[in-house]
Amino acid sequence: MAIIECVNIGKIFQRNQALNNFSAFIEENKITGLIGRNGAGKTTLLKIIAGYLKPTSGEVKVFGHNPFNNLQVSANLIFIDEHMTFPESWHLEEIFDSIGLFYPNWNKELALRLLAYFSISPKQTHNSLSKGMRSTFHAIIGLAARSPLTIFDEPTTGMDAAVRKDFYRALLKDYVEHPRTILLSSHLLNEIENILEDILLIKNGTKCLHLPVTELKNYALGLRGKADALNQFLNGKEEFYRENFAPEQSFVVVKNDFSEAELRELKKAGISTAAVPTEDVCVYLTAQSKGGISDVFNRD
Amino acid sequence: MFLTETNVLAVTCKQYLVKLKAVSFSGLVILQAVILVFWTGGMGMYGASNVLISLSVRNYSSDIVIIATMIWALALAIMQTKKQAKNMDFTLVSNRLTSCLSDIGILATISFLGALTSVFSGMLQRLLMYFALEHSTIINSSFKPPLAELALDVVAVALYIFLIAAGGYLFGMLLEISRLFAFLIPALILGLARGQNNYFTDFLGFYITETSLLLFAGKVLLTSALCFALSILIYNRMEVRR
Repeated sequence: MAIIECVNIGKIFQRNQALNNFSAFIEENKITGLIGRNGAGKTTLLKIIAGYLKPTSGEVKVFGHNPFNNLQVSANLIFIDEHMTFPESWHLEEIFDSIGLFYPNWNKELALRLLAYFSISPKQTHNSLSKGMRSTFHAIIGLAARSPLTIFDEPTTGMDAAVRKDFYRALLKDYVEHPRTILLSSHLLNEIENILEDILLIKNGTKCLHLPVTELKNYALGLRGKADALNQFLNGKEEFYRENFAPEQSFVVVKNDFSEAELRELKKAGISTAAVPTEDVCVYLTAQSKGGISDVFNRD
Repeated sequence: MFLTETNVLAVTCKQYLVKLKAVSFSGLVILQAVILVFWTGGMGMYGASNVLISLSVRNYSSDIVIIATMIWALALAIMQTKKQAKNMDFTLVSNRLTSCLSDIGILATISFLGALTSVFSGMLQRLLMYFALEHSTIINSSFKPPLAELALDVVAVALYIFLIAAGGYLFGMLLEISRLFAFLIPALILGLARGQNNYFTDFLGFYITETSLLLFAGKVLLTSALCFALSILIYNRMEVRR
């Protein structure tokens, strides 16, 4: 059952088109990663889903209702980002208590244990936290609130590597015990692909891909060999990336829809094949030009 | 298909509690204390004298404290509409309606508390003078605080503060639409006040000259309700946490 339905949504800020004909259906009790480049529209999409922003066109439904200004939708979701605001003079523990008022599944004991694990004192104020600690604190809120729909918008900003790892492990553990729909936006795919079930790739405000992670792992194939030999095989194939690294030598990433026979042919022609890491696939798919940054420096 | 059900009243009450805890009343207390200390000289003074007698009259009243409290309430009402304050609501469960309703609750509470403290500051002033001046005719043995009158004062002052807060809240909301209102509204008010016509004095007179407390309360509450309703209408269409 789809908990979030987006149909052809568009969002325009002044003259900047943030989302353009975006459609996606996100299912219940899944961890979905929202992946995209800077400025691809990730945050805008999440804020529309949370009901903070109103789409310029199209239709959004969360739990079957329009989320904009909807109290029931708001009660069933929590939106975690670095801009969460709490009264300046409050202790972290007081903040926890106020969250408990609003979220019936809130587990304060877990929140305090996590806080102790990350060595943050519950007597500190929200303002006194460093950037990484603040992100950690917000992430703890997202975990312990156990809201039916939990949205993390770049939750790991400022966290160090160890904390990031711990956070992802904690998220997975708690998710297994209390399944819920989790939306996680990030641009560091290699860190989160192990906990994700689905990947939603967004490019220039439109949907690029929506696949289970397992399928994305076999989505593309890297071919390396003589340019002439390669070109024979590339007829009708979807080419994601091409790099000419030596005279006559090319590396090409294409969609992996080769048959067994074709793969054997490739081997005969002296072309080596390699799986492409999911992170690289996403980078190639969302690239603006096929040659990557090298193209900027290649002036001939 | 919601997993958690809630309603407007429940969320409004919770937001009210959270906000009540976050509002700093110490600011008001300090403000009133400072004014009490520095204005103990009295509001106005006049005197006359001849060879035999010299007479001086000083007026003491809590008016200045009440005016300061009104300004404080106005500032607080405008601050409630600012992004920072609204983000706090939308960090947790909220919609535009509950956010505004809990704000109204807070403004009503501070109006009452502000009125209570500022009216009773008059009594405090009297007490201070009893100890400060040697001639303690200010409080003699038959002195009794006029409780009924004070209660009436508190209600009337609370209504005035609430009216001002409601206006401030609407002004703050308009500011969120466009910064231009920061110039337009004061210009409009000044223009009306300084102009040849009597609109402004008529408008003030509509409230000030009312002698029946009940009618006055009706006028104030109706005007405030109008201000708040307009604010909610404006806010209902606005995007948050941009």
